[in-house]
Amino acid sequence: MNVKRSNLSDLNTLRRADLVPADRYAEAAYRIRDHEFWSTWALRVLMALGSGHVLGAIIFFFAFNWADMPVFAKFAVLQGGIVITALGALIAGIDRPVGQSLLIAASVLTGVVLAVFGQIYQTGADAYQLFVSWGMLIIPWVLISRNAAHWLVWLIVVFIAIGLYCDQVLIPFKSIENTDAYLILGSFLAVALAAREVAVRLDTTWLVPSWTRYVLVFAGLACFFLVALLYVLDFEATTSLTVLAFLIALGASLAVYRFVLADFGAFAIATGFGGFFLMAVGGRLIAETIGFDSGEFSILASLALLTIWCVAITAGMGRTLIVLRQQFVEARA
Amino acid sequence: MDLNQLCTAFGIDRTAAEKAIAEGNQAAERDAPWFVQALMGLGSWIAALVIIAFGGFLLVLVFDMKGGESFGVALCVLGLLFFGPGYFMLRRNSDGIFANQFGTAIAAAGQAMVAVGAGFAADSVVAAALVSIPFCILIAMVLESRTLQAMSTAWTVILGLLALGNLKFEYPLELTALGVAAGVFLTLRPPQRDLAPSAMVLLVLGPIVAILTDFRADFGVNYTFFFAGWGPRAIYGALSAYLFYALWQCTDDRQAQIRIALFALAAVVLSFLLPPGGSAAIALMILAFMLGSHLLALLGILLQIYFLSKYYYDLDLTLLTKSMVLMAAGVIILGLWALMMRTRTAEQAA
Repeated sequence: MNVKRSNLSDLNTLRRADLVPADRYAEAAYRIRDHEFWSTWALRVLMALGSGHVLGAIIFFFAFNWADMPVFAKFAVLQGGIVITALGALIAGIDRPVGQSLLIAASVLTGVVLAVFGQIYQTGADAYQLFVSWGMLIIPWVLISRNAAHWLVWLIVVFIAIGLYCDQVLIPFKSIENTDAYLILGSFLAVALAAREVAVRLDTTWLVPSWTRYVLVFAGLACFFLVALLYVLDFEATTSLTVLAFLIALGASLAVYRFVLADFGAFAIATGFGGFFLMAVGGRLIAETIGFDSGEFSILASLALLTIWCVAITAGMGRTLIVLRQQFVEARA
Repeated sequence: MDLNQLCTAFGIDRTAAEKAIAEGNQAAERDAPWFVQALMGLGSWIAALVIIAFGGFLLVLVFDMKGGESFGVALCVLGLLFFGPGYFMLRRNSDGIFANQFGTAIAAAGQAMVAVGAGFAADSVVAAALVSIPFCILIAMVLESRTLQAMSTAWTVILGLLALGNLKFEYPLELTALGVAAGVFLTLRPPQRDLAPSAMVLLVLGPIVAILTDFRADFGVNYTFFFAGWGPRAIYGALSAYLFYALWQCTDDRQAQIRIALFALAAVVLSFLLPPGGSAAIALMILAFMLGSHLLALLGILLQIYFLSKYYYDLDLTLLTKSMVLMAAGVIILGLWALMMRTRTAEQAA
């Protein structure tokens, strides 16, 4: 028989019914939680915080003495750091958290070496080139470490590289408009998300944690949403293409996470963006039809209508998500 | 642990527990996961802001009021006219999600309008904060809407802090640290009445005010390692120790209790090494670990990342001293990691 594990929500219900006394609530919560999960969580948090502090201490120590160090010593320190962390990862084991953390440190130090190189030799290179080089150089480590946090570091480096390329090359040379940069960044994140989903299907276990999906869904939709919202609020700020791109991204997310890879969290993120976009569209429609600047009555009527619209959208989102959540649970069962 | 085991361990009547959980699950809003509740809360905030704009325009455009005492009184009356229907809509506790959302938005807007109106009428932020308090209590004690409770508490607390700022109160971080302690107490020993939304507001209050002090140097406190922030650090240190004491009480295993004592000691030391906001984040993470709360865990981690980067960047110390502080904190944390890792390996081997 499949016995459902009690959760915090059940315990809160029992507390409200006064079936669990207040002074034993904490103990009950402690007992019903997933000990294995929280033990692993605590270990990872301690590891990440501890190694982050130690790494920060080392960086600050060298930063303190940086100005007085000869060029050779500067590179020796940084490149020595890369060698030590990479070797340390190899010795500790790339499949263990310690080894993976050391490899992340090696990847970060690679970026620092490139920055220092540019600073000392004044190469005149644009900043995007640093990030492109950085992203390319650390690909092998990202792949062999098989660690989601390392993968996220790499994604951030590449994201910044694309953003800077748009900012320093494409926009100044009029190849694209400012707002198009968001579409490019959103498309990059969409491709990364698709790659993540395919990789998980191919049994890439280290990408299975759901946060790797949520980060990409949220960030990708946010990029498309921002420019689409800009168009809705001001037709001349950008083109209608941004709305089309947002709607395609939104529709694809809703369809995929409802029917193909049923995931309530990702579906809820997409629903949220859709709901807030509809609020903005409603506001614009009211502004165009009744107006916010043509007399007392029209302003008040517009605000009243907008209130009802916002409440209706919020209620609609809530109702949809609450009803669909049950279906997601049943589908999973 | 399933429901049966829980009932046995805590002497709960199994039938009553099943009935309570079945009834609890029917309350759709309460049953929704936190991110859905957050989404709906955000929607309610937007709707409430539009309603407040409506009220303001109504007074300015139709009644030609442009501030002053009469404007304040009129805003109070208008706020009550909004709050009343919102209150009764929510009091009926209908299943209609539109009615609940609408009730939440107009009640929240009503409370805000009454408070702001009182502030205008008395020309005092203190008056606005004081007027907001009874609304907050009424909502928390009578209504079932968690979204409205969170909005009302947040609004009252914000007004309270603004009022204290207006009175040149110099210890906002100490006060909000006590607020976090109250939030922890409400979370660990919750009353039968559901005050979890208010507790959550109090829990995030300390870190948020600490973030705001980054942007508002004139608020009275800056992060300087040696001269400021000792009060909140002491409060958060004591709070962390209390949380570990509560954890200690949950187990009879002597070895586990010794480990918890070591963790408590380390947490107290870290609370003095880290910035006040970072110490608050540690308390949130301990609470998350103890109760198994994913939301608190996420909040704690995000806040810790923010405070550590901000703190070490802003700290008015030489890079060498910063390096030593970082190393000390890092060694303590890694020591705890090693201790926990060793225990876990031994447990798995056994």
